[in-house]
Amino acid sequence: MRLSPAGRVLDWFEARLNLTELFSFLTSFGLFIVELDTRKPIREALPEALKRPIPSYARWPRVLGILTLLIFLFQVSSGLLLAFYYRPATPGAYESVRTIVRDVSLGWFIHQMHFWGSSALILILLARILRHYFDGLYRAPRELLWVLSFLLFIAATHADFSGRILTWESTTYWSTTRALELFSLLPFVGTAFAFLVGGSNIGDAALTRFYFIHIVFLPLALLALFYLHFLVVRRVGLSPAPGEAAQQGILAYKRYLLNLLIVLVLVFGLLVTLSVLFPLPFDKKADVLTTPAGALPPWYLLPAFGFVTLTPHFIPNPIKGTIVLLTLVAVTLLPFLDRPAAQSPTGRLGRLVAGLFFLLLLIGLGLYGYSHA
Amino acid sequence: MAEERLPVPVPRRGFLDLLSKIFLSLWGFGFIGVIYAYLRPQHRQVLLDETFRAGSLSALRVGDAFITQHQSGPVLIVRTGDRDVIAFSALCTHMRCILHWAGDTRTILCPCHGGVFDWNGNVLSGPPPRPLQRYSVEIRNEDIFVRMA
Repeated sequence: MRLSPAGRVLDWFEARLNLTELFSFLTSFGLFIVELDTRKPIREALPEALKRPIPSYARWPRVLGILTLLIFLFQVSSGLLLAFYYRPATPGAYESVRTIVRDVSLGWFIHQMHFWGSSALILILLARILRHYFDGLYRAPRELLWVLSFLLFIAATHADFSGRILTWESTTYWSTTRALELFSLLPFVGTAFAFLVGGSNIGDAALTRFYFIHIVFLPLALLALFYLHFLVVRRVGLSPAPGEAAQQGILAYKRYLLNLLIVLVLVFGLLVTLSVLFPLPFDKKADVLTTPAGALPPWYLLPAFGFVTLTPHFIPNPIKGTIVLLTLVAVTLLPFLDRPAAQSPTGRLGRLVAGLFFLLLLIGLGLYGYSHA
Repeated sequence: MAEERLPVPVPRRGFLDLLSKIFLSLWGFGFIGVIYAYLRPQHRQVLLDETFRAGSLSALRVGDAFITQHQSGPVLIVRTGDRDVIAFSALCTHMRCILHWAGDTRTILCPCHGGVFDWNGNVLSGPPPRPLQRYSVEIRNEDIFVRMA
């Protein structure tokens, strides 16, 4: 059998390293949705995997998953670009960001894109969780998918949170201070956070620690979560849209990649539009000794903030903190708390009502927190 | 694959294909352009023809030298006589290592590849391809002023 030169190169490598395993790893972030048989050479494993029927992929609302990953990768690249000029030290951090947004050509653009990308990541992760909830997709065999989605959401909010302080502007500095006040109410987590901040208030030590957490720890954690997430997707299959379970077909990969490209362009179009039309204003340098009135924590913390301010004062703060923490744990463990009876039509209605109620409660608390800061 | 066969080639489809490819490449080029513009070394205004005070004459003995940092690079300043001071760029013309003054032999040495210059900036030995760039010096009262040009 005569092989083409490319085939011979492939065979040379195949004899020395497991190409199927490599391909499987590199595409395990949403590029290739089917599990591969890593014991077979790639030339056999790939056509075999391509023949397996799966629901067509790039279709609303399933694009949300791949979208989060694309935005995450975008955040990594724009963050790397920002790191070229950023200096994590207290005299110097604000000045270096000012250099980026004022002096470096298109620096403002990279900065805005990074900011809007972060908000988009959190919002899309949230939309995805809501979609999984209302479609009842957190049940077996997708429990892990739910838990990992929620952990991704938590990690993404932390990434946003740790990034805000880095600019050392007045608004973001005091916004972080207000938010840390919330964290300090939580049992255990509060002390852990004091540990992270590296002191009793936000200073040089906090900046260095937040910088490290922001550029090394959280990106790695997010990457690991994304990886685990897609491994689960590969095993349990794509989440079906309602009434879609019967439609199985062979995936046309070329079309899938094309769809992915379209989604990518749309998202970047949106991010560019937001960055140009609604730029986040660049504030004056944070004065550590003067707290401006009306500093608000980041928007995703507003419901918890509203809850703490709304509940009566005689309830000790650690109890309030525990309630917030237990809510988060309960949401994470939802697949294990929900009874299977919820599959019945009345159960579905119950889920819908409970979900909407919880959502409205969060929005209400958030609005309360926004107006009573 | 059972593709529907079209009796005639459809030019419109090819045209749309081309359009979308152009559209996508524009995005690609746009992003590369943004990254290039952002990462390219930012030109700070280097003030040529600028005269700056390098130090005071009394702090420097005859036959001694020091290096001072200027916006456009390090400057080596040597006092060769009572009121004679010379100034060079302290960057070796070979690989841009920082030169130093050897007072005993009255030469300028490069620690990296053993280049040797005399006190007029000419190459005595070693790999440097060109003599050193020299700056004009002016003594006003007891201060040394170097003119970067």
